[in-house]
Amino acid sequence: MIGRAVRTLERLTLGPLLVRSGLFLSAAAALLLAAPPSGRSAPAILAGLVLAAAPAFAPGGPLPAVVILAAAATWGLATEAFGQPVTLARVLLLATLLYLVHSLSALAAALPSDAVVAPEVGYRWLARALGVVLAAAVLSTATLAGLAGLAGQAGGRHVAASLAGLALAVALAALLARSARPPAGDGPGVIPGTVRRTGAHARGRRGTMEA
Amino acid sequence: VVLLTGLLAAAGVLLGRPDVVLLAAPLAVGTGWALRRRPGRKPRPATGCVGHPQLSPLAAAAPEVTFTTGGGRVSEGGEAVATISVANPGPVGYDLVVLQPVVSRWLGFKAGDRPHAVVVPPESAADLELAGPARRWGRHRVGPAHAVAYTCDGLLACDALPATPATVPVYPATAPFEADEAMPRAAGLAGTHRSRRPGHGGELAGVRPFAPGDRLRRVDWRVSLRTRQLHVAATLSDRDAELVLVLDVLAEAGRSGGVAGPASVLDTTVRAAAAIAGHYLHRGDRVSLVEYGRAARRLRPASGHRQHLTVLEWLLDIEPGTSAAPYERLFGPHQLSPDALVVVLTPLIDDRTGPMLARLVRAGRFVVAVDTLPGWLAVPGTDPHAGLAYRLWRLERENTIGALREHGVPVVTWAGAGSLDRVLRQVARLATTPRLAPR
Repeated sequence: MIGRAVRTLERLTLGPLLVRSGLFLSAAAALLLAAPPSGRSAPAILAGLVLAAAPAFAPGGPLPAVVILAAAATWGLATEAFGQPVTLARVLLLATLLYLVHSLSALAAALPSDAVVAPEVGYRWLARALGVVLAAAVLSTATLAGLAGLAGQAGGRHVAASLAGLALAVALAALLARSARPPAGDGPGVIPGTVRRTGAHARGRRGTMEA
Repeated sequence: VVLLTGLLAAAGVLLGRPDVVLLAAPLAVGTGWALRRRPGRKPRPATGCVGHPQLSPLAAAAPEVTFTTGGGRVSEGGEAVATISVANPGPVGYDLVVLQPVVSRWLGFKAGDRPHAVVVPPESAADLELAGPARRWGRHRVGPAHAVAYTCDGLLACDALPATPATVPVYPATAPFEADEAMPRAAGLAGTHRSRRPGHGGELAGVRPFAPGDRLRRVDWRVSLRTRQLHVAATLSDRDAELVLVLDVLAEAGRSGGVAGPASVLDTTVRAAAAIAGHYLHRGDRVSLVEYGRAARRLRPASGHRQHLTVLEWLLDIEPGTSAAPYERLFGPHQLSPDALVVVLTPLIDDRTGPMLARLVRAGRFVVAVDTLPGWLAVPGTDPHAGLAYRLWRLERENTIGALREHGVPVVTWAGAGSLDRVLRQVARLATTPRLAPR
């Protein structure tokens, strides 16, 4: 066990190390941002750092999802119980950090720790993530602006949340329906989440979808 | 992603918190954006796999890996080059391809034992060039490789089709070798060796009185004028010779450390064979090779530069084997020329080698045994009796060598240049005596 860890450390390369460091920093920043100022004690920060470091060591498992849910739960608790103000900037920043945790986890899970990584892999991956974050920020701002009138009325917050949730649910349903359908006019394609074996020579071919 | 987004959206709706719903927005947007174009085309024959082509819808999107090696000749210690190409036949680019090639340990490629991560745009290929020193002779494989392509921001993954590995031929380093002593018996009618028979050649044998049949240009006028009688210069004929290299590869011993490390039996055998063959082929002799081992291969005798290249190629396929072919098949009367010099490169480990050498000598061949066993061998195991057994085995081997010498087989340890001069002189002396054994 120790020998294996030492060998892994000896073979560690810069590319995967940077990706995992970015993952750790994103997770730590998300947890720190979500926590209320009164709850930022030393033991809590230590626990948060340990939790943030976990996905960096096992990015392929459920730990990134656990960190994202923990940050969202902390955010909800901080704003409900500790009266932390909900501002657009903080919501967008937290959403950005959570998406970075998700995206960098996917990259870190795909990259072996001793891989020699071409620089363009990291640049392109990060550029796509930032593009997504920017698009989501624009979308979120527009949605919030549209729902601002509803939120001011009695019970309007629930209506606004329901409408936002409904929009997201419809988008997800459309996405899943599109994923299950083969690409138009091109015949059968890769079906996410399935392993297909078409014969002895197709051993090892698979199409997987990261959930 | 879907589960996470659903959970956050449900929590936001239940708690009446639009901000919690919006935390999931980048996840939903990112997934939707990534899956806007998915790989997948009409199925086509999967050409990358070995065997019968099969229609596979996944194969249409799978990366194709090919291996190519540098075309130049590489010797031990030289620079070997191999290129691994990852092709993307589909219209959707690979965000990431993780490629883990399997490379022979004797090819010291820089980062050759590590996975490589590259980006492959749609309908193009990415080349990965590996270069490094070739540490040992042989045919070294580059490939296969395990490649996984990720697309749609890592949401979809697909393994590559199996590809045929490439081989890098690395020729043995030929230690400098010289043998000034003449071959024991010439075989052909023309060549570079001074024979012991009179004839038309460049080596002066003496001056004798003119006899009918002598050519006028052979008349030695000085001696003729002095003696008042015609004399001619007699010369020895020049002949070529045939060399048979027998490679005893019944067993391997020692641990090979490559070109810069210790040499095993096989290393010494192959490098010595390359050096001896190169030397005699350079002098214009005919050289043939015999593998005394499981494969029992033969290389027909020939001379010239082409034969040298053939010998080097032939040596690359040497493999140790425990079972030997029957003696008659390798050394029968129709297999070896009676005038050939037989140089047996042997570690004298196997029990069959000694009788084989003795039979060759009894058959009237000119045999030289070159000892290829490394000077130092690690004693296997920690048993206290292992050292004693090792010493006993060494003594038995010395007895075998002594017995071979008594039978007329000179045994010499391989030491590069000049290794064979002393024993060749001995064999040449033996060759002048009448043969007692029938051929």
